Order: sequence, then C-alpha cells, then structure tokens
Amino acid sequence: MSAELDTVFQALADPYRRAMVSRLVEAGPTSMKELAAPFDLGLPSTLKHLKVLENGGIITSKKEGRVRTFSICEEGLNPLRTWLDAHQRHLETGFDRLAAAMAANPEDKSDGQ
Amino acid sequence: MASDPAHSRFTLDRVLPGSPAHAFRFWSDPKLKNLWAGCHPDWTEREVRHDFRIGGHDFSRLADPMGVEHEVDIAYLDIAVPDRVVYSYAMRVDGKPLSASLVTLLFRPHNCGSLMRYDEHLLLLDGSDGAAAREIGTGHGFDRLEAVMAESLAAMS
Repeated sequence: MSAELDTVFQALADPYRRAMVSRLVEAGPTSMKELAAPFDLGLPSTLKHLKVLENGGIITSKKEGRVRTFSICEEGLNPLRTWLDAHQRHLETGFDRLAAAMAANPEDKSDGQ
Repeated sequence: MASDPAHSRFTLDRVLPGSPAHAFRFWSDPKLKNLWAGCHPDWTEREVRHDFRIGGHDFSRLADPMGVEHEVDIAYLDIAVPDRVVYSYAMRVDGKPLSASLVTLLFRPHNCGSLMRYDEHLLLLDGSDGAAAREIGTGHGFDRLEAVMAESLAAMS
C-alpha cells in the first residue's frame, strides 16, 4: 500500500506526466502520438514518461497492430485518494476539538458580538 | 485542471457553538488555536512563529520522535473579521515539499451558533523522496502518513 503511494507520488511529480494523465482522464484511451502532440517532446521522451506512469500503475497500454494506446487505470490513483481521505479526516478531527474548545471557553462579549 | 489527480478541491462544513466572532478568535489568537490545533505533545518545537495579519506568516518546524522535521508555512492573504480568512499553506517533510494549498475559511451565523465553511484547493507535490514516504515504506502503512497530516494541523497553531 505504502510503496504504491511512493510510486504514485513519483509518477505524478512531473508536469508533463500530470498533463498526460489529465488528458487520459478527459479523453479516454489515446495513442502515444496523440499524447505527445501538445508537447515539445520527442516520442522517446514521451514514451519514457508514459512508462513511468505505467510502472506506477496509473495507466495501462495496449498494442493493436502498430498503434499503442494508453488509458487510465482507475485503481492506480487509489493511494492518492487514501492520502486525501486521511487529510480530510484529520481536519475533521481538528474541527471536533475546535467545537469542544469553543464550548469550553466563554464568549468575549466586549467587542459587541 | 480538475482532472489532474494531483489537484484536489474539497469543502468541509461545520456547525460550531458560539458566534462567528467567537469562532474566529480560535483561528486568529495563537493561544486559543493551540487549544484545538495542537495534538502531538511528543514532538519537539524547533521554530514557531505567529503573525496573523494580511501579509503575515505563521511558520512552524517541528521534529517528530524519529528526528524528522515537519514544516508548515502559512501566508495570510486576506482577513475580514469575523467573516473570512484566506490563506495559503505549504507542508514540507525533511525540507522536501509535500503539498501546497489555498484555503478559504468562512464564518456565518447559524441558528444559535455559527456555520464554518473550510474550502481547500490542495496540490500534492513530490513528497516521495521525503522521510514521510520512506517511513511509510517501512511498513507503518498509512498510520505514519496520517500522523504527518495530523501534525500539519497541529503545526498550524
């Protein structure tokens, strides 16, 4: 689980890779050539980025004839979601303590509130 | 941008006892904020500063029992007493950027108390080389990460 998170972080650390993931989320399965088109990147560099994402379990690829298409692997982003869930849970726990602290301390009426 | 998985936006609503002014003080007054935001008594304070004003920064650098440093850097962008606070904050572990966020905090009267709305736009950064990720990799699962997140809240005080 934790090694997965590490890999996801690494995979998404690069702006090109994040843009490629965004594109795949929005457009669905896309060929490598199409993925490379918006960037000033050669195919070898594009393939390198895509391999990092594929090894991170974030995307998957399929070869049909001479064309390799890439698509999002939904489960690949689960570690990120878990991270965000933990973040929100801890905010909520802090707000529980905030409510308790507010109830335990009298209001200051001096400022007319 | 919404589909970029490193970006996340979420809103938490909370009904609080007391007026918006009362709630506001628990964010603006470091002594009152400490009552709820601090929750890691076993961590060592290395550097803590408070400056709650527009353009001011709250900064904290704490070391966990393993000696790993956790930083939270808050920049107050807008303050309207007692309705609104807008701030950005960055978290770093072992000096490595972990996340950067923009938070809008709103307080409104609600029945006999207040409604607090916490809206965060969070960008996860490359924390993978940091101590948090390394420790996570040693088998503590997400407990360790959760502790990091909890401390980020504690360090906001």
